Amino acid sequence: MDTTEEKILVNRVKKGSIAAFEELIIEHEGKIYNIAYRFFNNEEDAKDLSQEIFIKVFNKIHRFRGDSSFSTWLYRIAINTCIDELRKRKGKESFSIDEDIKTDEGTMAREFQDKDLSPEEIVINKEIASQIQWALNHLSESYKEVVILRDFQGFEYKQISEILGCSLGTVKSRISRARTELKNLLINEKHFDYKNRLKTRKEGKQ
Amino acid sequence: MSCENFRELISLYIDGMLDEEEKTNFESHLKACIDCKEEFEEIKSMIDEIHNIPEKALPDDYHKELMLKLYKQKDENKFEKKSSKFNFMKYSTIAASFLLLFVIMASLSNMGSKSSYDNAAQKNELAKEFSGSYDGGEVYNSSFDMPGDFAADSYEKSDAYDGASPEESSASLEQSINVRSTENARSSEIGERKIIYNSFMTLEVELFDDTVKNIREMTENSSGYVENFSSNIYYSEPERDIYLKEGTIIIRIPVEKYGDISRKLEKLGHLISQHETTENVTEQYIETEGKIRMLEVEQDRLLEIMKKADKVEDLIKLEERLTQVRTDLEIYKSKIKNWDQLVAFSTFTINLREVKEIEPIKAPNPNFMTRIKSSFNKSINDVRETFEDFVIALSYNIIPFVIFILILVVGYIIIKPIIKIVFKKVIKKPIVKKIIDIIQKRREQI
Repeated sequence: MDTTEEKILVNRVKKGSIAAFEELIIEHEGKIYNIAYRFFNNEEDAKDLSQEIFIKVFNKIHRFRGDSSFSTWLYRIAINTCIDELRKRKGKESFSIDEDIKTDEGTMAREFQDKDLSPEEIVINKEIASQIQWALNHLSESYKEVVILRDFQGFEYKQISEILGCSLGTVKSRISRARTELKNLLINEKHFDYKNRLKTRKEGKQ
Repeated sequence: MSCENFRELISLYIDGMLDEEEKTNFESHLKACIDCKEEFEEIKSMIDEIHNIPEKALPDDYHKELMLKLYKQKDENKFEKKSSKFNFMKYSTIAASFLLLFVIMASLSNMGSKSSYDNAAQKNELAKEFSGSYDGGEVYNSSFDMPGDFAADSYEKSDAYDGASPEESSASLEQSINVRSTENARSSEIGERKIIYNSFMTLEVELFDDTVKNIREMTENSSGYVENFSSNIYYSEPERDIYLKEGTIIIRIPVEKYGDISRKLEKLGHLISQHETTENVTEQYIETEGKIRMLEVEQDRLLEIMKKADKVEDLIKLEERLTQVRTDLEIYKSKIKNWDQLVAFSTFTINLREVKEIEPIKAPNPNFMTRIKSSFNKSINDVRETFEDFVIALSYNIIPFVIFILILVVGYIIIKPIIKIVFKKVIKKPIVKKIIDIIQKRREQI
């Protein structure tokens, strides 16, 4: 979507057009939903929170001055909302790896069927996915957001710096540290045996 | 390159964010150091694994549900705006100041037109009074004075009609004007545009009944219909069998024939005024359609839940909600129907006025005394009229005049000390010096 078209749509939204808003957000729905999902690791929460984000954006649209692109602004609000919600919940809930697996089981299996993997691979992959999610849950806020944006959603460094409102250098060092931290979490957690699996996978490839 | 340095760059290397020099350094270290290589491999494979985790697919009804929430939110926002105290305070002060300004402006600008209108009406009355003894030319003129006012009047009326037309129209009109430019660019995406055409015209015709008949035929031929018709006799001269009619006819014509009919109507008589408005309801139309879709989804879902519900309590609640949804659906559907109707048929409001050239009749045997009497009467009336006009103008003038004076007084009070200060600074010094010089010179002379 080019910027003039975006401006026209934003102006229409400011006058209350929902049809224009629909056009603006439709391509971002999936990404916002997935970002919320990675933050809360739960489909129900992801749905509620991502919809809350869109409603927030709709209500705040008159504050959007066009300094950045609409999508940058949208993702900034999304990240901030997720982090606020995370802080609210902190202490009230604790994440448990067993629960995660339970809630994910059905959908995970279904999604992997499309990829023509063998049953063992499905099991392994599912494990890996939930282990990575577990580690992600244990990262600090500032690391979590960059890993989600960079590795899960594939944003460029520059986009991330715009969304988070910090310099490119900060983004670089944060991503680097976040990844190391994530990897350490995976390796040091005893019942994962991540390191060995990495080796076996590597040997398998060769 | 140290190992520590290397580890900081792993991430950037994987994402291809290093420049050439850093890259070669990095790669040479990668070959040399086994520990670092292991670290690199671990991070690399972890990122690969993250990339292999598939995206979560959106739940089936995600989009529809979101849109429904947005529509509800919009309705809530409207309500909040209306009841918000802060806004009320803010806007009421602005409104009050504008009102004050408006009153002043109106009283100033009305003065001229209103008094001239009074004049016209009076002249008309006078002319009627004298029509028996006076020559008819005056009558003819005065009857022609009217249409000008009448046209202005009809303009006002048509404006008022616009304002009072379907709900939200004041907002929608504004919106439609602003949106129109963008609409043009994107019409293909939005699909059919929904535009309501209205046309108002005032015609002077020579044969009122024939013209009405003509318009009726024209309407029927283009498969339209007459919505409203009214007429009355506004001027009569029974002794010469002259009855002049005026009236209004409102017709609805299929929108395809708008231009055609418009051209034909203009030729029916002497066109005094014409006024066209279009109202673009595309935006509201699409939105309402969207709301209907969402409500239908909700209705289906409620019905589904009702099948599963066993508790009477739940059933009653569901039934209540369902009734609400159905009522809303009906309201929106009738809105759409109404728009369809308005868009399919354009509206013509035609004001007709019959005029006739009146043959001047010579007064039978004009008596000298009666002529003197009538002209004396006329001069008395003229004097009275002028005096009245003066008093009326004065009464209109008085408020703005007082305000003007007040402003002058206040301005003077404010500016006076400033002027004094300025004058003191600028003028005092040289003048004092001059005076002292003069006094000294005189003393010397003495």
